Amino acid sequence: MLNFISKQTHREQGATLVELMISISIGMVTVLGVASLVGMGVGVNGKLMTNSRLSEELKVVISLMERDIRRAGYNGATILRVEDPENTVSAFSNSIAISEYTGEAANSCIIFAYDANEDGTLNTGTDSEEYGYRLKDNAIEIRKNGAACDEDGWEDLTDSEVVKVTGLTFTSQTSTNNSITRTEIAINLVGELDSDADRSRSYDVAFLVRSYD
Amino acid sequence: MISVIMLLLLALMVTIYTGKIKLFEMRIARNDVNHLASFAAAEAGLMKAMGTLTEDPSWDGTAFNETLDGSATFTVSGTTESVTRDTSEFTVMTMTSVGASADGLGQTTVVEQVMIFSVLANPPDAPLIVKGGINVGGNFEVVANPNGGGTGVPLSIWTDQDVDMDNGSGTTCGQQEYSDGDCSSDPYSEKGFQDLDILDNDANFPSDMFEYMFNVPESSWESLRDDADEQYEDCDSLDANTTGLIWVEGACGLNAGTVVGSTDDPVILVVTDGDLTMNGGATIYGLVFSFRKPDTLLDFEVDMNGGASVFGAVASNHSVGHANGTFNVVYDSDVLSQLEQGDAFQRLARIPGSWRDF
Repeated sequence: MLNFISKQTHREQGATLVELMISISIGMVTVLGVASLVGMGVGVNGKLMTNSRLSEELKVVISLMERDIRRAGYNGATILRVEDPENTVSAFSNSIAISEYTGEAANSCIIFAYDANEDGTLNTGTDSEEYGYRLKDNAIEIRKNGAACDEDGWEDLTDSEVVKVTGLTFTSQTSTNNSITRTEIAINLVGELDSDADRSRSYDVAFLVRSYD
Repeated sequence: MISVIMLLLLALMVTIYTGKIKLFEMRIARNDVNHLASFAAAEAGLMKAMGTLTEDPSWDGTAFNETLDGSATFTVSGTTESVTRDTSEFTVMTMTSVGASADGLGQTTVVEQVMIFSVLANPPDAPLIVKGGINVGGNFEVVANPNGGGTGVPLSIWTDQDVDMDNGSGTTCGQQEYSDGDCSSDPYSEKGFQDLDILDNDANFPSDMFEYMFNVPESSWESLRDDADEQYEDCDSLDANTTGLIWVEGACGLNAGTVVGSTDDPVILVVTDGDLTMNGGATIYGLVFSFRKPDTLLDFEVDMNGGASVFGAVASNHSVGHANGTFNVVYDSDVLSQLEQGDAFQRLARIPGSWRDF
């Protein structure tokens, strides 16, 4: 009897099963909350990243095109042309032409030339001084080895796995003043994320080709 | 507990990664802005250099710099070289402009060439050049260019049609005779005798006088007018301080005693579709061009009355001279060389295809 009483007075220490279950539930809810928060954060970050990637990719490519096309018509042998303008026609004059690859949007290909090595002659073939940009299969391509707009052999500039270029339009406008013709080129570039067509960007730029003909 | 810490760590890592990417993006954006600012500054430098050269054609290309609004800066310099085309000589200046963004991190160099040339493409070899013939019913006194037809071969009148000295009462003479006052007593050509100093019926006479003189086709005469230093409706405001290319639309009358230009600062006076009348003692130093526009059918006159004269040369793209008309033209090589070299006659042209930023 005494033994029973002493057992009664020494109560068991620790949490009960109910307490344990409650605390585990609270813990799980907290962990789940944090996890979903982190998950959401990671998701938002991911979207932010891909959005940035889209903007950056398009901005870089449009700026590259602008800087390159602006040089069209440059010729290193200007002194020769001053000495004898009638007999020295620049191979780089009036080199800008706008067309498109077969099956692509109209005016989505531009070709031009400038004298990158400053020797006054137009190089063709491997070290070609004939440049160009075009839209093909939802990617911007850069001209290689003087291939024409409707020929293959151009190289991708944009990563078609991330960015889908849906529109590229070149517009050329010439104005003549005092028998000097200047060319203004406008570019419109539209692209979207390959993974999410709802996220799209459109960029416009217009500039003067400096080496007028 | 551990899983919470792990999750928080994951969140932290993702945030740091995003932060780094965003920072990188900001750097790209800043580079873009820097490039735009330095490019704009470099272009401004080129424009400034062209402006400087227009104002002062003798600028030798010594470098100068300037800070623009927004603190972008440019340094521009030029190197000159002489280029010969046929018989004319041009100066070509290669201008290099280096633009820098406000923080100095962005830098762009642009180069462009300009040609500096005289508005007078071909200085006249003869003091009187006329297309369409000269009616010698009036009177004229022309003092020849001593080397107009080659060294030591004087030239006084150059025209595509016949000069009838048998009936005309004109006189041509040499510079020395003129300064000695013996022009009429010791002439090259006079009534009844035509010497070789009058080159008439010349098959090589330029078909477009305007282009021959100014290197602008007659049909594009507006471009020369737009290039003029002054445009007037008459000649009332011309005086000894007038210099440069003066374009007069309509008749030009100079009152007795009026002096236009000087030996050091002469004028190129283009009188379009109008008579030029100079009265008693009026003097012009420079080149007078009586210009009839391509669509005009009327003839216009050049009259120099009572000893009025032109020191330099007179040219016309239409027939001049009438029964009572008078010409007094004295070839003046100092005046004509000033027309070629004087700052007021220098013009600037950008050379096509010379702009580069690489």
